[in-house]
Amino acid sequence: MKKSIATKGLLVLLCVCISTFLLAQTNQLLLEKTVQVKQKQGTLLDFVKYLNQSQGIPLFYDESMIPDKIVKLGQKNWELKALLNKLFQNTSIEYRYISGQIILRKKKKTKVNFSGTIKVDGEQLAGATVYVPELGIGSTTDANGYYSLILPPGKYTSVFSFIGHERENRTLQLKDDTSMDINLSPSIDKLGEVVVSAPQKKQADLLEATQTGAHQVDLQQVKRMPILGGDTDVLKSIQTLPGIQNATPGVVNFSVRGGTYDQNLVLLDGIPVYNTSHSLGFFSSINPDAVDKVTIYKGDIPAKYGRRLSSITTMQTSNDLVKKFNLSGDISLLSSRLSVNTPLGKKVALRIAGRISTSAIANLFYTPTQDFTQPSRNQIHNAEMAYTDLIASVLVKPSDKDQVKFTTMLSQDQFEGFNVVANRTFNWKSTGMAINWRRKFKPGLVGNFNLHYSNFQKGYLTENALSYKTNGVFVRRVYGITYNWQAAMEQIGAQMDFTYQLSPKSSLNFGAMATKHRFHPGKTFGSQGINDITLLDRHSVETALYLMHQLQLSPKLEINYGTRISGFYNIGGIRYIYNDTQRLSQHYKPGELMDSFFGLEPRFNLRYKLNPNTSLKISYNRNYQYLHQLNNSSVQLPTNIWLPVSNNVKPRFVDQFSLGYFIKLGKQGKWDFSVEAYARFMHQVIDYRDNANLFLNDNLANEVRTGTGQAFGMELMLRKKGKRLNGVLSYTLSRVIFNIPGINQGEPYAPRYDRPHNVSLNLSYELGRRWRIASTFTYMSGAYTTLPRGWFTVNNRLYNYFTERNSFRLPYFMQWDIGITLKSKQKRRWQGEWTFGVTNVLNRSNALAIFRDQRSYHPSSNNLTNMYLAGWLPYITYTFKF
Amino acid sequence: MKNLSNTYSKTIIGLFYIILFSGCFTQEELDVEFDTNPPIVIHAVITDQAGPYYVHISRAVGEVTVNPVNFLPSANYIPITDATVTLSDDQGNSDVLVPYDQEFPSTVPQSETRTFAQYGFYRTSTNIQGAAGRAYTLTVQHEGKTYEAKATMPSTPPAITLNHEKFIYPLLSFNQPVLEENYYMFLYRDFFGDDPSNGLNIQNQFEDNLWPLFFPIFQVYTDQFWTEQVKDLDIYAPNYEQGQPIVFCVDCPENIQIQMHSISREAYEFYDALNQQTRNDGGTFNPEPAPPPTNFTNGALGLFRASSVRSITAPVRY
Repeated sequence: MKKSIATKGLLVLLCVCISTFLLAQTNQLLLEKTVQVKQKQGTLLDFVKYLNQSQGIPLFYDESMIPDKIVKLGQKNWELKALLNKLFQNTSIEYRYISGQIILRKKKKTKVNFSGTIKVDGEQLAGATVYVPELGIGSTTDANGYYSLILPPGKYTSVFSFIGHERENRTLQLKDDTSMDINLSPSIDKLGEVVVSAPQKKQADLLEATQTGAHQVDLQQVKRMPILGGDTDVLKSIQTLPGIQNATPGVVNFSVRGGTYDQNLVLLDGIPVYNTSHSLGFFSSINPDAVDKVTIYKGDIPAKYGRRLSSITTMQTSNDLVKKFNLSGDISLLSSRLSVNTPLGKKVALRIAGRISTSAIANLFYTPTQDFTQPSRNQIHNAEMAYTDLIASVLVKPSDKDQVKFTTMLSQDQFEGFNVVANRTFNWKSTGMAINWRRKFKPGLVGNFNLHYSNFQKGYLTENALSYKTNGVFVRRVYGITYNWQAAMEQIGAQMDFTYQLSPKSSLNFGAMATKHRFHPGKTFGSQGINDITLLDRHSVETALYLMHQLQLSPKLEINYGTRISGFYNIGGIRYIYNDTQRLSQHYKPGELMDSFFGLEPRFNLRYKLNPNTSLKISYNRNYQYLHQLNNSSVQLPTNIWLPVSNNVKPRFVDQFSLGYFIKLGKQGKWDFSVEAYARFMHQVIDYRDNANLFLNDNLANEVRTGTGQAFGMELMLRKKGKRLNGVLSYTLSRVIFNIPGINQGEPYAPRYDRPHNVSLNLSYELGRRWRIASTFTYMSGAYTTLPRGWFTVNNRLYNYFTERNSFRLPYFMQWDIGITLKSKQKRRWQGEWTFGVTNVLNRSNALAIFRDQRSYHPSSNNLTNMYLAGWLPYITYTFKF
Repeated sequence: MKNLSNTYSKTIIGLFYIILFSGCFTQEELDVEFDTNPPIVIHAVITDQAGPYYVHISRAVGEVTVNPVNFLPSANYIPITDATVTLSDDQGNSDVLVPYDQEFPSTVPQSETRTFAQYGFYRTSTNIQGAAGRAYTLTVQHEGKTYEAKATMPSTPPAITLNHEKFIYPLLSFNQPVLEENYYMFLYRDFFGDDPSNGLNIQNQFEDNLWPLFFPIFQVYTDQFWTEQVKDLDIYAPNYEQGQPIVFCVDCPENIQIQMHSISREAYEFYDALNQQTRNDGGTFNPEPAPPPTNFTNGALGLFRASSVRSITAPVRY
């Protein structure tokens, strides 16, 4: 019996083998079988069904998987194999022959898109990180909290993280495009601190980025820093960054890596902000509550921005849809701020942030009159200064793919100075509008479209009036020249920008922009002593095309290269031509092309990771600038007007080379240290001749001299980010030299802001849960200045004579400011903070300028006057959030 | 009570303005190198009025040393009395100037009487006469160095009409040519009658051609912003001395003499630069200080100008 079973078994096995073989034979035959199709055209599914049902081909498939596609066939008789190849050509379907059956299935992908959003409490987080350790690839979320990575299929762990929040680890089996939304929760050890404002923004990861010379300003830290009058100021805090200098401390003008003040551009959601200051430059016109993200690019300006030689500061209003209404504000000695964040439905949010100067409020009740009229020189007595500004943004997110933001800004100023501004009453106003539309067209392709408008109007009344008391009544006599002056510059333009990720290691950034400028260089009206004059408007168009390619050549080496091609066209107007003896003018009709200029601006950045914690970067940049500012004082006067390049004043350009070394120190990279060195070669640099006449002069050719400049420097920065101690220590070593024939007797000279040594230390420390102490310390070498060499007599009056330009260095600048903050108890809806501080603790008379007072006809002393902003000054600020 | 709180608020706001928005000022002795080898300063005017014409030559000083008096603070410059000065024109006329030996007006509070020559003044010795359109050359030789300046006299300024209606001092109206660039300089002086005991009448004692080298207040204008008709121009200076306005009419002048000089562009730039200097604040709000322009060669400071003059004397109406 046993034997028979064994025999049977063997027989069965044999049969199976044979049949399998035979079946295999039939399989092969099946594919080579000739099938007839009855129709030449139909959907893919029709053909599959026909083959399966009418021809009896054993097909296994999922109907939903078959793409809806029309197929046309050229012939009726097919070999099955050829037919299947033809049918599924260019589809996501492939066929396999297994055990006598044909199985239709999806092709295995070689790369999949892994995307989603990272949120906290339902609000999207910008700047959060997703990281795939197996591949060493990571990405950060964009402004909408959206991330996207292109990965080969496989099994991965992915890590989602954001500063101050618990990490989320997820294990993924990636086969197909996958979307994953992650909700992060705040770290347990951070529970003590209530995050009250918009989420703290992550610093740009300096180690990973190929970009050099970029700083993302830590606005939280900016708000903690003590500052004159307790008035938080983004542009002043930028000056504590390495490589940024200023001739006159305390004003918002700054020089980046040796460039002049007019080589910097501030963009607020794409609106060019030409008027960045209030009160002649002592306060910046950007309300820190209105913006969530501020980044400054020093010299190495990304191709999509361009337009300036030295720096671009981009400021962004909120990109997060707030979920509930909140109100915040502060009151300081100088100004009061209020901002409102509110959702308008589920997809729209509104933020309005406004500010008004305390003096503007005071002026509502009281106008300073003659009481403070002291005819003493150089003091802004009888000063009536007031400012207000407002920034509003509406954020709309109609779908996951789109984000539209409407931004408007308005800033207004009034300033009346007695003598220091030559008896002038200034008023200036800037308005701006922008629409930014951001759209994800498909995974990996994001487009940004921007429309912007900006208008900067300024004017002053100059009136020489003499007030004297006769019989107890003030008599005011107006003498000499009186006039109103007005000027404006207007700009309207558009930009489109695309980022296209070709592969996990390669992406493109490209786009185009065009902007039209209208310069109104000035007019006078209501004049006495001169006749009213109007300078002709000037019209120009500025265009640019750019393409950058970011490529990861190896996990260590990444490059970013490309170019920007800029163009500038003067349209209509008068063109001046100088020959040896005279000035000729050619008139062009409105709309007629007068001059055109082009610039090729190549850029190259390289990042090499020496090890996971250190990287080395090299970059080269060439930038062009087509606008000049007429300014030969060191503060930001509203009389400084902008003019375009012309046949007489050529575009400026600069070549910048920089080298950077970045290292993360300590556990979890809480410390980072960077060294950057740069060399800049500036071409067609302009400066004003001695005793230049800029008043109502729209033709610079006679007043400027052109030459070259060189700047060299090294910037060191050590930064600590922690729970309690946050701080930045920076040191800059720099030199700038201009070589301009016709200025300083043709000898090289340094601009005023050239300060070789700059040290800045910003610290804030959380003392328990309710107290915080913050300190700012700044040391700078003195600025350069021109001092008199002696006296000479003309018409029975002593005058000074000067020789070399900027040959004297002012005493060094050193200032220490401290502030202490008391926060209200947590868990309350109303969160308040009192800050008490002292600026200039050391009570140093840091010189803004040193000059010889020349009011007197016959001075009896050689003493020089040191003008400084203030001695030690206390301040108090109350900040609230609700 | 209301008054009190108003005063209080004014004080607070006033202090607030002063502390926060004014620069603070200190006088400082800095370690500044004064010029140890100061340049020569030459100031000379030739006009189309009858001669003689005057030249003032001095040497600048590195630092002021004494508290000077109102007129001619000679200790704050070094008069140069031994220079060879030659004035020539494009017609071949030449004049070697001689020291001006006239005694300086006695009302000047100086302990000793001095002549103009001792203060560095020279005058022409021939009857050379300036005329519009001519070119002049001034050559100064001193200590082996030669300093030279050339000037062409612009055309005669237009006729002036006066308007006494607004102020005690008359306002000026004139028609000026628009086709060319014109620059003008205005000077004025009060006449106080004939009483020599009146200290203010020292102004009367300078000759018309000498006075433009003395009077520290002058206004220069460009016609860049003028049309042909200039109406009611107010040329009177703010009269600030050390920040204090001179009180009007303590000693009431009876007449005013107004001189209108046509000047060249370089002369305009020179005087304009001097006027700008009085506002000097080290380049904070105002332009950076710069060496004043000059038309002399060889590193001399100063100016040689040729001006056509229109002079007018009018009563001051109260």
